[in-house]
Amino acid sequence: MDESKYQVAFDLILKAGNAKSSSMMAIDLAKEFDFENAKKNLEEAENEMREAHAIQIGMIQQEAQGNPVELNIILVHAQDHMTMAIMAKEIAEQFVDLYETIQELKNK
Amino acid sequence: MRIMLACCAGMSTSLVVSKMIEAAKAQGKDDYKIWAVDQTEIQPQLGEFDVLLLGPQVRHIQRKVRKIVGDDFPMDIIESVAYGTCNGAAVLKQAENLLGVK
Repeated sequence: MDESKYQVAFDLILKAGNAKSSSMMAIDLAKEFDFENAKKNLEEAENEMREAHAIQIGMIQQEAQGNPVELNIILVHAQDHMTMAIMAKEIAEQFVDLYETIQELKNK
Repeated sequence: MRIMLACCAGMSTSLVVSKMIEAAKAQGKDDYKIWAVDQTEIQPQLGEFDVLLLGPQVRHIQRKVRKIVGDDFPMDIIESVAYGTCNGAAVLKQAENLLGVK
């Protein structure tokens, strides 16, 4: 197996996956009203997403230069992870806000 | 030894599995059974595996999975660098260490 052709896909899965994991953990923490750590996790998600986007931009630029990356099912799956990570982060931000509102209402 | 890997769809870990099988064969460990599943297959396959490794991209399910497999079950998140470089031998070693196999 030539693993080098999967390298970029694995990098993308790792970064996007880390971002999604951090986003999901942010929701778990917010549920426990631990907003400090929830927001730390959102920041981590942001950082991981930035790296994931950089990998994606790299592939796009490579293609624009006439040297496209080889398309394979793992790379398609990596893009799945990317989409999931983007969604998870946007939703996690909303959830953290919501739990903050819930805490305020509870304390009234 | 029965090593099960789980991630999202069991797709990327399938590649890791093929590299782990290669590494196991090279070490003469032909009796090892190594396979990958989607995270939802953990509960149904309980009892079929001796050690469980989760892809780093699903580390957020660790708490949920811990409840399924029990507190003392040998389980870990695949080390990020080994996963990212698809290093079968390193992941195999991680599984063996969890079970205390030399």
